[in-house]
Formats: sequence, structure tokens, C-alpha cells
Amino acid sequence: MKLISYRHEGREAYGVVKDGGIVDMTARLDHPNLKHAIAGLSINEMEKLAAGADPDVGLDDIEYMFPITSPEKIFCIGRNYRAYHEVLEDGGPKWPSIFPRFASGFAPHGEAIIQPAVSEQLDYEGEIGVIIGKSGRHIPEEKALDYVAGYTIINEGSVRDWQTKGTQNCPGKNFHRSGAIGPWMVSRDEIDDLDALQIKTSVGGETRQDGGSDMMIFKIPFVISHISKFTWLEPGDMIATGSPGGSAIESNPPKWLKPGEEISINIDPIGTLTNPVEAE
Amino acid sequence: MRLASFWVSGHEGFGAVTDNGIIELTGRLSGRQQTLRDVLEAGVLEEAAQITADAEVDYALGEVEWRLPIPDPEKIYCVGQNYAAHITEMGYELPEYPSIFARFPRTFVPHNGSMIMPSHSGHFDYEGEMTIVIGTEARHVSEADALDYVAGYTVCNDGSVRDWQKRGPQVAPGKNWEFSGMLGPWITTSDEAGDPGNMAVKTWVNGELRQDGNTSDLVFSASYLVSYISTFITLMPGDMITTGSPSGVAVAFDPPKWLKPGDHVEIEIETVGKLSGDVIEG
Repeated sequence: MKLISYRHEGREAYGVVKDGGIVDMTARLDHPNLKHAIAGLSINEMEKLAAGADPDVGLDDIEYMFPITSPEKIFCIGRNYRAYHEVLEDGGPKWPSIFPRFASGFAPHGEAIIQPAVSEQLDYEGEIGVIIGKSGRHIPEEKALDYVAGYTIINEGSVRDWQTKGTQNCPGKNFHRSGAIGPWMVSRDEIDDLDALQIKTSVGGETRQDGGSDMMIFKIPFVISHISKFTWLEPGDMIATGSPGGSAIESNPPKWLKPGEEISINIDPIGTLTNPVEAE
Repeated sequence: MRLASFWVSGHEGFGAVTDNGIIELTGRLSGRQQTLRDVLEAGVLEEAAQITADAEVDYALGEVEWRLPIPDPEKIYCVGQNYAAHITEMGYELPEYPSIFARFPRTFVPHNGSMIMPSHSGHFDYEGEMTIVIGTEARHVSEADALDYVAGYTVCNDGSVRDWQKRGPQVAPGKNWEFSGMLGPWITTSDEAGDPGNMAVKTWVNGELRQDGNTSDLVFSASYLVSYISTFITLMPGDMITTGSPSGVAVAFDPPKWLKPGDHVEIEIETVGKLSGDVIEG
């Protein structure tokens, strides 16, 4: 099931994507937003309600919002994919690279990603986004997926030269609307094998990233368990799980995102996240 | 004016802190603002000051349970290694750019709160810091104008779990432990707090003075940091920037003087306030 948050005729709503439209759940459930609905474990209820209903609104008639409109926390994992046939020396990194991002660093599906005035080095990173559905702390790895409500697509857009100013990557990872999240989330039952997802990023129709989640170094259950050692994970929290090879910086010369281009990230069966690029 | 958020008589509120007690301001301004962040967003600090000037106190200081000064800020940025003397004593060169990282609000406890000793680490440290509170939306503001966007200042313990800071190339895990830092007790407005470039910062653990610095030693000043961060993101009313810690943290002692359950931490910033908290078992 695909779950979406959106704005229609000025009103914020959420619902189930069905037959090219949306069955509005705002009117059918007591929960004010999707974060509350998934926390209330209402996913099964939404499925039942949607099964017997026709779409209330078409996907062409809405403004997309982040699937979770106001997440408390967004954690990102850096350098989490190895290349095919690559043997990691010393068995690879011992610990994942983890850093927070705030929601204002992202744009929703369909809205412009902003190439900043102070840098040309706007890069993309197509990633699987995990959305937490249940509060948890000290979650064992083998139980980690029980805490997941579903998955979305994240463009963990980065301004490369600002990642290396200072010892922390935060400035380069926190530019206003430099990334994107969406277009919706799929409930976790839609994905049978987390190691069999293919992340495909294209810019202006040219394929730039085409990597399988089997190349992830720190797998999703480990990452959830690890983060939950230091903080509570709450419903609606998101984890961007890292990007396969093919970012702009890896080309020579680098293929930075430019105003006027359009970037699409496809992860089947989640969907496709598309955004135009605009100059600040 | 000193502005605080608190729990009292079973409700959430905010108000002005005086030496005699607290004047509740929840819903008392013409815009009926229910939170301090709403007051900053509406830009009505002057109205709050006028009401405060003529009002009687509603509560004694001991009557309220303090909350984070802004309980739900959109963003908190921290600056690492920002005191010149501390950097040089550690044998490093002065940096060209500030080290900036993010913390989520739930990593802090309010004034008189209990920090939780991390369950997977003994390397629990304190960092007494002066913290900027943004009053007006700021993007691409110049260093010269930056302080016009600041509502005031508060006090922070940027509490850190040192071994987890080194797990992976980013410090975030060691800086985002649940209830590992402190923030408060209130926001002292810019007019009263004075020059952010000349504030004494002192930290005591169980009464022993550990840190004794002054923001005059900051490599990157308050105005520089507001300007710099506003280059990449829009700073919103209630956002906070905590400006780094002077020398004397636990890890700098040999052997390190790690925090442990039962410890009492106090951080005072001249002209802003004194923040206290305890450490309890995880």
C-alpha cells in the first residue's frame, strides 16, 4: 500500500494511493496526519478502508508533501555502499557514518531543488528512506524491522565543497532544499527482500546511479539497532540509508546538478521521486 | 528580560523570570500566543516587556518545573572547537571554518533536570557553552547585521559521549544521546545580556570549577556564526546555535574526569543565567 501526504485546495490531507488517485484518510480516521496514523498502527485499517472506496482526488490535482510532514528526526548514513566486486580492505568500516538533517534541507516531490548561490557543487544521492512506525530504544537487530512502518525515496542532496569546510559535513548536508523526499511511502509489507532493491537515478534522462541494495555495508536492521542505542526512535522518524556509486562528484569532470535539469530517482516498488533544479 | 518555558499547575506555559518570581505570559499578549516560540515568530518581545513591567509575579521560582526555553525548536546547531586557547593547548591549529553539527532537542534536559548516564559508555563529558537564540527569520544575513536577528542567549551543556563521537567519521552519535545535555534555564534577551563577545563561561562539577572561559576567546564569534549558518539554511525564530566550549572538559584531564551518576553539573554565563542538572543511572 502506498501512503501519501498532500495538499488539495489549500487543505493538508493524507491517504492511500489507488488507481491514479488518492482515497482520503483524513476524513475517515481520527488521526490528524500520517505520522499519527502509522503510530496508531492504523495501516491495516487504512488498507480496509481504501479497498472499498473510490479515489477522492486525482494525483494530478494535488501538491505533494513529505510523506511525514514534520518528522522529529532524520538521520542519514554516509558511505554505505560498496561497488560491485569491490573487496573492502580490513573488512570495511567498523562503524557507520551518521549525521542528522532537518526537514527544511529537503523539497517534496515535484518541487524545485535549489542550486545555491554560493556553490556550483550541488550533488544528488539516491537512497532508500526508512520510516519508523513504532517507538523504540535499544532495539535488537533481529527485531528492528518490526519498528518500520515503511519506506520512501530520499535524494540526500549534498553541496560537496561545503561538506569539507570544517571537520563535520553538516553545512554541506544542510543546504536549504538541497535534497528531496517522496513521493509517498510504501508500507513495509510491499517489500519482501530489502537486499533486492535497485536504486536508479537519472538526470535529464541520463542514468547516473544504478545500484542494488545488496551492496549496502551496514544493513537496515543494524542501522536501526545502532541508532536506537543512543536515542529513542519515534514514529515518523526517517533514516536515509546511503547511496550507491554514480554521484556527480564521481564523474570527471563532475556532473553537478544545474538549473533547468530534472532529476528522477526510481526504486521499485516504492516509486519515482522527481524534482526540477532551480537556481537560488 | 528573562523568558522561560515551564510546567505549572498542570499546564504548559511561558513567562518572564524576575528575582521575585515568575510572571506568566501564556495567552496574555494581544496575539494570545501560547508558546515562547510563537512570541518570537510574532515579533512581540516589546509587548511582553511592557506587560511584564506592570505585572505582579504569579509563581515563586521554586513553584515551576522548567522546560527547555524553546521546547520544540526547529533546529539546533552546535559548534565544536571554537575557543582559541583550548585549541592551541590541544596542539591544533586555529581552523579556517567552524565545525558545525546538529543535535535534536530531545538530547537535552531542562534546568534542574536529570541527565541520563549513557548505558553503553563510561565516557560521558560536559561542555559549558553560550547559546544564541534566533528571534527573526535569517537567510544570507551579513556579519554586521547578524545580531539584529538574535532574540537573546541561553546556557547549554553540549554533553558528549566521547567514545561514540569517534564511531564513524561524524560526531553525531556521540552528540545525540538521549538526555545527555542541558539547556536553559531561560533566554536572556539581547538588551539585557549585553555583548556576546564578552561573556564569562564557568562550569562546576560537584562544586569544583572545571571550565573558566570567556566568549572573547571565540574563534568564530556569535555574529560570524549566525551569518555563516544563514548562508546554507534559513534560521527560524527559536532556532539555537551553541557556540562551543572552553578548556577544562572531562576528557582533557589525565585521567579523564568523566561524569558519573550522582554528579551535579552547573554552568553559569555572566549576564545570562546559571543552568544546573544532575546525572542519574541509565
